[in-house]
Amino acid sequence: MNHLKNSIEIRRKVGYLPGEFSIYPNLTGSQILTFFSNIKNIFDETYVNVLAEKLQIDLNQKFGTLSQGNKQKIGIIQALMHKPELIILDEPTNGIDPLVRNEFYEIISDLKDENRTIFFSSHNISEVEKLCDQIGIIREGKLIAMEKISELKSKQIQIFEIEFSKILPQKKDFTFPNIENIEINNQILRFTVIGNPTNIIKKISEFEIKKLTTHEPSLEGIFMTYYGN
Amino acid sequence: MQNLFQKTLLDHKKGLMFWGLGIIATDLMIASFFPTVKKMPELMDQYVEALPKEISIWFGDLSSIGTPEGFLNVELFSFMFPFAFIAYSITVGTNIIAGEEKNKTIDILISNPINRSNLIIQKFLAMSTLITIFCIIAWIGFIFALPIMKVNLFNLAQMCVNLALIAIFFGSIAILIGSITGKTGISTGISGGIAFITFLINGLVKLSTDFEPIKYISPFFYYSDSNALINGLNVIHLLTLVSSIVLIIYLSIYFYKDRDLGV
Repeated sequence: MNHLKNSIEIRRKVGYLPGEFSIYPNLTGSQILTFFSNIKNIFDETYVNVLAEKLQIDLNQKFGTLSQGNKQKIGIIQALMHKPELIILDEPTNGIDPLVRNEFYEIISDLKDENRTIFFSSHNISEVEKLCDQIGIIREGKLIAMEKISELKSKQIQIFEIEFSKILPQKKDFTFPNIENIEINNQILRFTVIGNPTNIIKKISEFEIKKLTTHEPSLEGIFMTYYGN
Repeated sequence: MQNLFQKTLLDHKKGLMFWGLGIIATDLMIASFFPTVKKMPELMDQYVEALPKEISIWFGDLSSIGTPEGFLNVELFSFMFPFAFIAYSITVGTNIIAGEEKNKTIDILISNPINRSNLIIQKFLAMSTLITIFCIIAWIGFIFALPIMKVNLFNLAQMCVNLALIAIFFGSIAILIGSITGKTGISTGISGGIAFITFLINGLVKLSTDFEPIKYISPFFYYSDSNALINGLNVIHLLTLVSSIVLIIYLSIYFYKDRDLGV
């Protein structure tokens, strides 16, 4: 479809929630949704009520009197009410409390299961990890990376935490190309290893170790390791 | 709430009520002065003759102030009603287009399946409907005033048509400026400025025949020249105003259609 010629048709298939959802303060939630459903020419009252119930929002209150989180819920319903093929949500969970947030995640998962495409922007990486299959990273308005979450997570990144008993190594002892974020604090050495850690383990074995732990970082950790700089 | 047109009308329902009451109150108040003016024809003639031309030009045909139509022309339709209605139409014209951008509601509105031409047309029709309702209210107000001032209601209706057109004209200018700039202040300022300047032109050209040709650029000429309250509507003038409004709305759509709304 041509985005100029078929603009109306395309917008009928899109559900959009802007970062700052602002709409007529003198209308109630219900009036706002009826207004948009008339523009979209589709109104599934049952689905609207299901969404309103899950998101715990009273549709009879005037928009202007609602809290930030409740305004956002109206915005979410407005974006999803016509079950669009493409859903674009910009920071949808802003101001929404954690319990309702979980309900929202369920709604999004259901839509994913129905094979709808969802563009979801968020600063909350744990929420991205929970909901998304693929991640794009935008820095200063430019898309700097695009990867599948499963691929990003499968990258060999490990965080090492080693407590030494006697002689503490220096940072310069660990100047390997596959080491990042190295820090020494209270006899404990911490660093992140990208890729195969064999060379580092050999070096560590030269010192007397009291305790060694490793763990995989969260998606946020992986993200910061790759794109933090 | 069916569509943008109805929503725009409903947004102004409170204003409609207050303005409506205000218009009827003004009709009745002005009409209540008429018996006094009518009782003192000589005094009024002296008063009219004493007025310098520089002042009398702003009040229409003062010589007929002793008739109900002449009195309404001077008291209401040459200054008070046009400016009140124009002020209202500019406010509405500004709010319905530039206001959506100021309040950031345009973002979500145009992400929905509505095209921009349709948006301008629906909002223009809503504004025109509001102004027409006010003009009908102004006309109805004089039905209540008939016991004290017997005005020709048919001619009055024609004058109200003129009033509606001049108000819709400036409301459309506000829509056009809002479509081009998206700024409420600029839209109100420029539309109000144009109204004021063209009103001045329409008055000042009467002071000297040298300026005569300029009068055609003022929409107030097409509003007032035919003296619709006494002579009825001038079809050419009416069509000039109507076609100007159509042109302004066409230009609004032209500029709004492809403008980057920053959303």
